Amino acid sequence: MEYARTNGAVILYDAAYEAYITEDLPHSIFEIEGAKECAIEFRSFSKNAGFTGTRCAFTVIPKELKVGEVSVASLWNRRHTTKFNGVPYIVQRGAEAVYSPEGKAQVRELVDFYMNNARIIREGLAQAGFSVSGGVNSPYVWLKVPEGMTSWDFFDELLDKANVVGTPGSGFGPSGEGYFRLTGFGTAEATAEAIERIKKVFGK
Amino acid sequence: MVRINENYLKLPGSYLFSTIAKKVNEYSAAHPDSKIIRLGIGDVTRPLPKAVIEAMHKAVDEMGAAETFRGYGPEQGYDFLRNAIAENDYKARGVDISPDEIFVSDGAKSDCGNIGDIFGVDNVVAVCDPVYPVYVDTNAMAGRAGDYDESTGMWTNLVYMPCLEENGFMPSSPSGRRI
Repeated sequence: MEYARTNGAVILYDAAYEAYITEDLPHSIFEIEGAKECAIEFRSFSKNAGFTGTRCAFTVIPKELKVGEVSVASLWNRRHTTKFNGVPYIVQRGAEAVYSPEGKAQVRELVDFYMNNARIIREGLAQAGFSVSGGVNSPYVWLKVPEGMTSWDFFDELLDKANVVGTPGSGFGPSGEGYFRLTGFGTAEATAEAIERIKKVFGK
Repeated sequence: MVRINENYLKLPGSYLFSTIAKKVNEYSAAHPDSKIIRLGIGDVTRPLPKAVIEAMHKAVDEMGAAETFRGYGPEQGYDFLRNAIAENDYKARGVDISPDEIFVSDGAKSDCGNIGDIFGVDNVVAVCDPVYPVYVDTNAMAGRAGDYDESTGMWTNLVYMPCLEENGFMPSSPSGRRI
């Protein structure tokens, strides 16, 4: 935040996974002092309420965010109204229901379900001897691939020997090389089965 | 003759998750009996919450009656949703965001990719590394990333903020370059 304010930078903050924050941490960048002058926040109904195929999200641009005299929100408003025709009424009613008491409880159940998968993955990989991180405040678990292998080597080996598909870390940038990502978004059965297979193939 | 946006030609290969899907399809075609489990892309598997389904059913019925039918809506989203967001996602956490600062859209991916429209092409962009490929690719498409260097896997004009084991996977501010 300090860097952005000193340098006149804008922070583009993607908070699509905020529902997975379980520890006492901010959920929005705007909970941090001064963020309204230098940040834009992206949020989504995909990962909390399962809208990946239904499609609804939102972007927050505070009025305080200005470049010189120009309000960034007014430019986005101009773009949005020119290039976008709005989310279907039916879908927006669905998104509104996410905030009803029942909706909130049901979303909590979904998040807990996926976080439990993430826990099973994290613990299972650790038992199989992998060095793991993630799976806390996030539904993704990262493992370090065995010495001498690239992320894509591990992708091929995992697909071939365990018939499990994950995401090679190098696909996310050079610092991801040597790492591999698994998601907690599977079904409980598939997640458990995948971990059993991985343990069988890689377990020591 | 028409000219294309040549920045697209600089993009290496296809989108990450398309490459993965292609590899998996090839494997499955060669091994039709294999039971493949997909824990790659972050797509959810549980059905929509009941409260959502009920609300959408009701909205469908409204669309089927002349008195409650709706045509074009406000591009920024209906007030009922923007108010609910401001109230529950922000006010409840002590943050004052007004409904007119909220722009409802079809996806965070689209918005993250489109936000660059309102910023100059000559801005310097810094990204965490590793990161969601959409942030990088959309800036490359806009001509903000320079050229892709195959040997380093990096774009020449992007500033990378590495998230490594050494720094607890927490990036530090972009250094050595004023943005």
